[in-house]
Amino acid sequence: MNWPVTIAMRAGRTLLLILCAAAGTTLLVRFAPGFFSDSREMDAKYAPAAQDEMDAEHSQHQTVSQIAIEEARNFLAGGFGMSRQYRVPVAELIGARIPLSALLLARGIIGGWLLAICAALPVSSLRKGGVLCSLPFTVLLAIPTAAMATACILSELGGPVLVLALLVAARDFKFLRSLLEGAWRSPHLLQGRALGLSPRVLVKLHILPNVLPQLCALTTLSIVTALGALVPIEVIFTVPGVGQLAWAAVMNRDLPVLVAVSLLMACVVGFAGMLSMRAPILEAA
Amino acid sequence: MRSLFRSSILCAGLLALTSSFASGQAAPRQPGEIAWAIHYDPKTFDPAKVDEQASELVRYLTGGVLLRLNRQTQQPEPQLAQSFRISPEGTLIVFKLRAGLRFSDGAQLTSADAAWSLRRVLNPATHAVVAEEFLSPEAVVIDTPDALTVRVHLPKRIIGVEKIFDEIAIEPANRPSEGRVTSGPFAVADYKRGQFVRLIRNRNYWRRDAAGVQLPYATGVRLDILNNREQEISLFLRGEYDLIDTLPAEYFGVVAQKSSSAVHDLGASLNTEQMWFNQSPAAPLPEFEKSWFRNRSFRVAVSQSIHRADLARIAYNGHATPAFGVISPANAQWHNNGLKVPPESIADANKILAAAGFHRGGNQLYDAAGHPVKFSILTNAGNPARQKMAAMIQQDLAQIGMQVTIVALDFPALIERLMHKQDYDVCLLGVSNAEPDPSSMMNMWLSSSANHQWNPSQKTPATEWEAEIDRLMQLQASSPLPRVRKQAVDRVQQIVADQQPFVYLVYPNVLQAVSPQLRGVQSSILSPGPVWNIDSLRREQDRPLRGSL
Repeated sequence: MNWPVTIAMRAGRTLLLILCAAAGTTLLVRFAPGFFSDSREMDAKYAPAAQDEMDAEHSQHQTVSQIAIEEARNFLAGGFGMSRQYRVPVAELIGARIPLSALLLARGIIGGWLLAICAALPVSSLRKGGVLCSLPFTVLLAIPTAAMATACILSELGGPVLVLALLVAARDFKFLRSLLEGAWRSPHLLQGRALGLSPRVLVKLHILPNVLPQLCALTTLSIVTALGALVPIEVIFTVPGVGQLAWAAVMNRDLPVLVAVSLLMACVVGFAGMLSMRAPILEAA
Repeated sequence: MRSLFRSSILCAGLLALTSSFASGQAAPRQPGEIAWAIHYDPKTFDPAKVDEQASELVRYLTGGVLLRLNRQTQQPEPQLAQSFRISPEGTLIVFKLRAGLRFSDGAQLTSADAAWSLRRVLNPATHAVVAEEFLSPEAVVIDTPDALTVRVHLPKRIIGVEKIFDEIAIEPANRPSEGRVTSGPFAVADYKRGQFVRLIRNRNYWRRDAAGVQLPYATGVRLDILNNREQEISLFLRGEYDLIDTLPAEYFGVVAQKSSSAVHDLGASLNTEQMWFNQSPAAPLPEFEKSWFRNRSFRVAVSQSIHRADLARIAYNGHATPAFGVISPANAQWHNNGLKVPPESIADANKILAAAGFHRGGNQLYDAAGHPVKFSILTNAGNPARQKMAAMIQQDLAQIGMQVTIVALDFPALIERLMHKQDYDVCLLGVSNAEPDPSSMMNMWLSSSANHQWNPSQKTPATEWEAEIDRLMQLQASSPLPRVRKQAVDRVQQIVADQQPFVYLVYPNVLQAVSPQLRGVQSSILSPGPVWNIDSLRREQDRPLRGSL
């Protein structure tokens, strides 16, 4: 199969993923307990106003098909409708938050990679003690993201970027280490080392080109890992990004926002998945 | 190889450094600005359309009002109105405005602006929540005989009508500005959704202090939108926030350890924590369970077996007051001091249950038909004090043979079970009473109300005692005689104590943290707590509190 067909197939798969995300989110939120409720209903002062609003919405959004039609209409009109919670256009809400989340993700992933590579390079070249040196990453992997973030806040050390970087590093380190270990021990590397080539030259000329396709696949994994951690990190550190918005939308059953966030996440995951296409393309080349 | 190690460590160090810089949270403080956190975004800055508490706070800080309820004396005080007069029959209120009033943009404030603002609130198209307090808003007539006089004609007397004007901000006529042009101490300057609301000082604010200095003292207010208690406390201790309005009991000790002079326990609040049994005929529960919950003896026995002092001591670390009635002792004017309540006694509870046909089989209680007495307590997740109380009640009720399971749901799911499906056995929640006057509780006590939790939206009262509560609440809401009102409210409290539709547990104490640098604070248990006299608050030199979280 030639690579344009592969790209078309992957793009199709991504589109399907996006559609499934939208449909799944709509179904899950519509049938989530408390979809037709408002916390103000418990406040004797504001309960009648809240009830009126809920009744109006109930009449418009009783069935999934009604919701789906309205979503499609909003999407075709170039937006995602109005947020139930904030009463402003969803596109405006998300648009303001994307740069913050993107910056956080970029810094976290780059930081994580830096950490993982900086640790994996020397550890992979060790003949003994590699397992012991890997222990901090194994421990990091076992710590829940929320616990790591809370510890940062309580100790007033580090911030969202550090937590994200540590998480990405912990996930990537194991793969990078085994990749690099294999590369270090390959016969041509042994010969290069015997010839006295410096580690920098070995890494640059012999290791990186060989592991590049796998690194592309690992990038996809890093993006997905970082996206998964975005919600707890932004919520705990109060970063006004897309993750925090998604959390607030879940807590308030804000369907238009959740559908938009799901679509956005699905797009990012889908396109990140396309990064790993480099592997077969390179292999074919 | 050594160079590889060196560069690796350097890179990791650099990363840690840059990451730690990314942890800053609060927006930079402007000189003379007072800052604190609110927990969610205000939904609107339009003072007429306020329908939740964050917006209510912004309205309080920005809106100029004709009358303001003094949160310490609980008496209305003239603000934009220099004086006011209510006619003997209670159907005419005449406000005389101060001369020379101006809005924050410099425009003159006259009776036309006040009348326009009042009419806007009364207009059904505005959907102003406060309009409902006029009972028949469409029948209220406003007129302005001159530039400084506003007359409000009511179709009938409204008890405590003065306090309604505390919630109506006077805006420039025909120029609603969403809080940007105000007649109160501050005006909205900037809002970043999910980050902060910044208010700036109104240079044309009418009020001056005794020395003739223009108020407010503060140059502005910054309300950070922050829904993380640990972070809020950390920022308070670092001196970036000046106060924490409602400090959860579990954090009181933490802040007190770092800065004992900053925390204040003001004693019992007006709020109550209570549990109630589902008595709704529409509830999808087995008939035998419904019959337990409708049985007064069953409810009284449950109430008698709960150790409220332990709830206050353990669940609230001592920062709560055991509750036995509807109205907190903090509400001295309306609390029934002669209230007779069923005493806490396991022996008495067992006797009452036995008399009602329940019997024990080992550690399990059975009803007359042989059904084991088992039910669940529904509460909201994310409230540690409530969850601790539920666990302690579970243990208390085990002593009288009742098997209890605890169900914690997030708020939307809980509301659906509670308000829409009535699919629960027992619910443990709190009620926030923002106002001391019992008229504000009408929605909860009238049997026809959707907020009459144990059996909502009744067409006719299901029981005689509920009918009596209806009658008494209507009486207290309509009688002009304070003595008659007090008697009615006392009687309601006694009926509730006798029937136990709500089993009151504790009155959580009012816990506040106020920076020692903040001057002029006159703490109050009424909302908005320490900032009720915001125009008189000022910051001393910027110095962080010692320690960190």
